[in-house]
Formats: sequence, C-alpha cells, structure tokens
Amino acid sequence: MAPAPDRGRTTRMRRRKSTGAWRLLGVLVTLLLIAAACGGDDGEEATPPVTAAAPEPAPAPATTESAPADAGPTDEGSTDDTVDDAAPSDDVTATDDGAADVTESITIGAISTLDGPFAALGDFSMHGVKLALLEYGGELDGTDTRDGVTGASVAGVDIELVIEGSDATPDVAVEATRRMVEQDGAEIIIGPLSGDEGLALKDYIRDFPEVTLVNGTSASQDLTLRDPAPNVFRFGGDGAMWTFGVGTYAYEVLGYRNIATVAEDYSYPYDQVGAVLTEFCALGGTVAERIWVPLGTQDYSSFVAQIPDDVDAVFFAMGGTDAINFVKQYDEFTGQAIPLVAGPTAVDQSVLSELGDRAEGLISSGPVVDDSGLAEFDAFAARLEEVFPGQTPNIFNIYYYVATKSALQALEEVGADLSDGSAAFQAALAEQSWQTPIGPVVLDDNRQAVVDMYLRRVEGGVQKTIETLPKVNATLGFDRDEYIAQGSFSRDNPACG
Amino acid sequence: MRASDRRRQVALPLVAACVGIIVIPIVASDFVLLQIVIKSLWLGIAGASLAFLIGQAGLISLGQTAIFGTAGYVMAILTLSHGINIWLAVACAVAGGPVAGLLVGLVSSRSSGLYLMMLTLAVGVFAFFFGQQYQPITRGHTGFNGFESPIVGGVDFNERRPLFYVTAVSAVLIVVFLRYVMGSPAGLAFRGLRDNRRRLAALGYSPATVTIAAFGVSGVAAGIGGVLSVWYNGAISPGSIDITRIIELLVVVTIGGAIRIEGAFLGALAVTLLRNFASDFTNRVETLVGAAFIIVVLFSRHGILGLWLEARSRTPQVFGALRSQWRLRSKAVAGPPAR
Repeated sequence: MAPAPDRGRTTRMRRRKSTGAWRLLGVLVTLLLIAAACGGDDGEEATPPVTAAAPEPAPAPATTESAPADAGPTDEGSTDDTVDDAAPSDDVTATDDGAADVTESITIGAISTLDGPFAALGDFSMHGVKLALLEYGGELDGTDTRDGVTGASVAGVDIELVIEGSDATPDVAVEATRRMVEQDGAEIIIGPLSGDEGLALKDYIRDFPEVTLVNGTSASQDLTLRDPAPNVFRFGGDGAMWTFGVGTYAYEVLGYRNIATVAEDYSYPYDQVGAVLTEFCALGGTVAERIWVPLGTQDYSSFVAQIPDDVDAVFFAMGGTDAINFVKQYDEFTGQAIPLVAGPTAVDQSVLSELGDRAEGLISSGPVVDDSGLAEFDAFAARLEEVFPGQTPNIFNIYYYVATKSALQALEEVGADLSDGSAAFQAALAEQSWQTPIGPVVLDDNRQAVVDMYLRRVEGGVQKTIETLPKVNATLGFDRDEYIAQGSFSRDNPACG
Repeated sequence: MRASDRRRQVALPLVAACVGIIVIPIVASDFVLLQIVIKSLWLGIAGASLAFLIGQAGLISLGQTAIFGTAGYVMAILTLSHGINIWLAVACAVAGGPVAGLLVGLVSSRSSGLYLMMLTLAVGVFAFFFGQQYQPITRGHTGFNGFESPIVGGVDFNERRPLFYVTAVSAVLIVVFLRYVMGSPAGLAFRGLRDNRRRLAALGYSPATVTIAAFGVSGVAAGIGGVLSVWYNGAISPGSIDITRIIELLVVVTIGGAIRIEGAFLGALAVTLLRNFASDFTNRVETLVGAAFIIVVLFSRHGILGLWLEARSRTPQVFGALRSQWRLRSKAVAGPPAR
C-alpha cells in the first residue's frame, strides 16, 4: 500500500527520517486550512448549528431563537442581520426599549474586478464606494483595496461593507455575489464592473427580490433596456449612451463621410460601435470596415493593416491596456495619418496618463470631463485626492461613488427600513434624483439613469468639454419601441446601408 | 477472504457516499450546499478526469477544459440556440465528452511528458479562443446566459437539492466507472503507459492507441463535469474555460492528490473552501491558494490524499489491529457489516 515506488535504500532511509517532520507540518497546515474554513463557517452562519440542535431540549432563549430558524431554513443567508432574526431575540432579552422592528445593521456588498486583467480598475471603483461611506461617518479600515469601512451609519443603523472581487468572468462574479448575499447577508449589492458580469448578476439577483443591485460600471445595454429585473438599478449610462453624440459630431462638424471601426470583440464595444453607427449612418455616413479584435490582443499590426486607406476616420472602442497598445501601435505604424475617434473608456482618465501625447486631440464622448466646472465634481476630486492621494476622478470611482451614494440616500429617506422585501427602499431608490459630480441623474421606468454626457477632446492630458449633451436616455433619443425592436447591437447590427 | 476484502473495499465507500447523499442536504445550509458541496462535486468530477490521466496513465493534460467546455457548449448551443429538447441536448453533450476526449487524445497521441503538456495546452487555449471568437456558434465573449435546467415531474433541477442529488450521484457513478476501468485490462495498459512506454510497446501494445483510449475515458468524466457546471452556473462563456480554469484544475488535482481519482474531490473541496472562506480573514485569497498549493507540493507528493495514505502506511500496526478487530466482529455478526 505504500505509495512510494522503490528507490535506492539510502534515499528511502533519508526520506523516512525527514517525512516525520514534513508530515507533521503538512497535517498542521491542513488542520489550519480546515480551521480557517470552519472559522468562516461559524462566524457567518449561526443558523445551521442551531437547526441541528433544535430537537434537543435547550434553555429558553435558545429555543425561541431556533424556532424561526427552523421554520424557514431557506433564508439562512440573510437571517444574521435582518428583522426576522432580531425581533424574537429582542423580545426575549428585552434590552431594547421599544422599536423591536428596527434592523440592527445593514450590509452593503461591493463587487468589482479585483483580480485578472481589470484589477487596476477594480481598485478605482472601491475608492468610489468608500468615499460615499465616509460621508456617512465611516472610517477606513486600512489602505488595502479589500479593507472595508467601519462606523458608517444611516438613520441610526450601522452600515457594514463587504468587499468581494471577481476576475471579470461572469461565473466568478456570480459566485462572489452569492457569497455576499447568501452568506454575509448583504441586502444591497454595488457593482459589478464589466458588461457580461452585469448580465449574469441580473439573472442571479432576480431570484432575490428583497436584495437590491445597484450597478457599478457594467455598461451592457440589456442590464436595463430589455427584460429588466425589478431590483436592478443603474445610475449611470450604458455603452451606447456613453458614445452618444460622437456619430453626429463626426458627420456634421468633422465632416467625415466614410469611417472604419476597430473594437474589441464583445458586447460592450458592440454597443459603442452600434451607437456611433446608428447616428452616423442615419445622417448618410457609411462604414467601410468593421474590425473586431480579440480582448487582450497584444499585437495590432494585422488589424491596423486591414484598415482601408480611403476612410476619413477610424473609430476605436477598447479599454485599459488594449486601448494603450492599439493607440501606440497605430501611431507607430501610420503616424495617425487617418484621424482616430475614440470610445469612452479608450480615453478614460484612468488610461490617459499612459497614452501621453498620443492621446492629444482625440475626440470622444463620455460621462466624465475634467473641466465641467460643477462644484460637486471639484469637491469629489478634492476629497478623492485627500483620502486616496494621487487619485483623480475617472469613470470607475465616480460611478461606484454615485451608485453607493444613491443607495445610502434612499436608505436615509426610508429610515433604513428594509422590511417588506425592501419595497419602500427600492421605491425610494427609483425616485432618486440628485446632482452627482458629473451632472444631474434621474431614473426612467426601467430604473435606468437619464444622465448628461459630454462631447470631449483630450487637451494637455485632461478631458476638455466640447459640448454638454444633456439628459441622454437609454434609447439615445430615438423612438423607444423602434430602438428596442432593432435588437441588441452586435458585430453587424446596425446594418448601416 | 479475498472476496470479502474486496467487497468491503467497495461497499464501505459506497455506503459512506449514500450516507453523505442523504445527510448533507439535511445538515448543510442552502449556500453551503450550492457553493461548496455542489461546486466541489462538479469541479471534482472534472478534476477526476485529470487525476485519472495523471495518476493512471501518466499523461499531464492541460486540455481537459477543452473537453469540459465542449460538452458544456454543446448542451447550451443545442438548447438555447436551437431549442432542442433538453434531455436530448444533455445526451449529446455527455456523448460529446468522450468524443472530444478522443480528439484531444488523437492530437497528443504521439507525444509524452513536456510535449504532451504543450500540445494539450494548445488545445485548451484553442478551445478558449474558439469560444471567444467564433461568434455565430458560441456567441463570443458573452457566451450563453440564462440556461434553465430541466424540470421533470415537479422536480426542478434549478433548485439546489435536486441539483445536489444529480451531481452527487454522477460523482459516485464517475468514481465507480473510473475505478472499474482501472481494474480492467485496459487499466493495466494505462498504467503500463505511465510506468514504461517502451516496455508497453514491446509487449505489443500501441502507446498511441492507449493514449487515445485514456483520453477517451477521461473525456467521459470531463464531459459530465462540463454539463453539470452549466447546470450549476446557468451559463457558460469563454471565461469558464480560460487559462485560469486550466490551472485551477491542475491545482485541484495536485492539492487533492492524483494517486487516486478520489483525490480530485478532496482537492476541489479544499480549493472551494479556501476560495469561499479565506476572504473572511485575509485579503490575499489567491496568494493563500497559491501558498497552499506550494506547501502541499513540497510536503506531500500525493497531495492531501497522500498525507492520509502515508499516515496509514506508517502506522500499519494500529491499522492492522483495528482491521483484525473489525474482521472478528463482522465474522461474529456473520453478514454484511452494517454501520
């Protein structure tokens, strides 16, 4: 039965001597791991042990506790902090004077991409979440991205922050969210960051109508446009809205008639290209070539070579390092002989410094400009710099901030009352209308924001406003039924001529 | 004597599995049942396909996610794109596993060791990019969302308990199947491939054919794992089969121990527990998983399972005594041991 295959006698003997200590260490580590797992188990989930102990006769308080737990074993995840659990124990101990139905604390779960290709963006987004909580009396636990905020409270109810990360894949995002909702008892989820994660979370959160998802920066149109979930809210634009106005500007002001597009090959860039072409082609423009590059492409030479020589401009929609790589290589190969027009995240403030001079003069549309002159924006920028030195406003920290603050404001309005399946809270959230750092926000019937966008140009490494585009809605001003009926944007939708 | 030994070897784990299948859904909370137990089971099934290849045939394959993904995608495409009956789709997907396995085996049949790893890695990465880019069929980066598991006679397999039963029974069947293969003459040939390729050839076997067959067998497990992962996630996208998942499978098998296929389930459980609960006390979950991996590799050649096996082999007298006592008792009862 000995697993070791026959070796030389000496080796064997040496092994025998050392394996004792090794085995001990190994066993220790294993035990540690198990203990770690159990520790997490015990801390977060008081319910399963209670259920198991229920049949045995127990002292009075324990039995009253176990009764509701026994009756509803399906909602263990949320019993920790919610009214159901708090009420009976209050009755027994009678330490609180009155107000038995007040929730003890509310847990907010924040999810962003803390691992994988977008990890840097995940850091930005958590800055936004924390800034909002600091406004409600919170204090930073530490400087790490995953360190939470303690001490925040709304209407006398403590707010706890749970932070989870994904690696931008939907599977991981759903598992992380499930952990927050079902294990940590989060009642409000802020996030996620990327488009397809958002669609996956919408499917998941639909089964938990009492939990509220306030989107971070997931910009997939269909998070709210088609088949919306009643407990999903988006206080920012989607990929198409962020690109609003570029097509018209390119045709009417810049005088382009025939363009090519280069974009990453997934839903979010489809929305950007779709929005540009919808406007551009409606005015009579044409698209010579739509080039789709795989996410994470390093070498763009073959794609640059595919761009026809006779186009007036190239619209490119990419994010993060892809945008940086593409612009650098395009610049080196062609010297920008054909002018570029950018998608919103391709020239977001989070990548501008990396692009340097190459980004100068690039035209784009987007939700964030640095010279809007809004008092709220300047205050946000100052506070951000103060709390997280060296950080400047970008789409990620602002959107997560706006999402978190909207949720906290709605909580305050309802006195932090999440009873009745968060009905009052969700109603208050849908009515939120306030002046964010990037302009006024108000939600439509699908709980999708109607927000200002900015047509902008990169000057001196910052985004300068060309024109403010007020109150952009989810259908870009087109007829709603027609717009929805044309289907989700894809590689070849809209057809354009 | 020999027969009773074997019966005990087979009966005990089976009884334990049955007890587990009955007890776990009662004890575990909804969250633990889904995200720990079910996840570990399907990840373990996928891991078992790799543990089988590594432990039995000595083939370190990095292409298991390709097989796994093929099955998952086949089911998702057939149901969501073509509206084909779910059971037919499941049957096609489960059949797709060994077919994909044979294909991966065919590609890598003439290589071994490092070259086999490189070839299968290429296959795995190819599958990822195929999913990512072959839009008309695979729907690209977004993949398939909103997959609904079947409902049969009021039993909704989207619910956690029914899903658990399906996954657990599949896991048991997979283990039984793989163990059966291991005990068969084919299993002997696989071990021959692992131990000495040339000698196997000298005995008249074709190493290439044996390699292909081993991949085919492992494809059965990988395919079923892929199908169950889609039932679990309700979705499949290239993100489900990217390079991170390839490595994750390897980590699962290494931590658990490839010496026996059951090790994959241990490893899957360990990794799942770490991923879910380590974040309660550390911000560096991935670092911890990596550290656990390194520690296990350093201190136990055969993972967690190896620790147990070694402990048992080191203390034969204790186990021997226990065993003889057990034997006496079971003889006294004169019947199959009831525990």
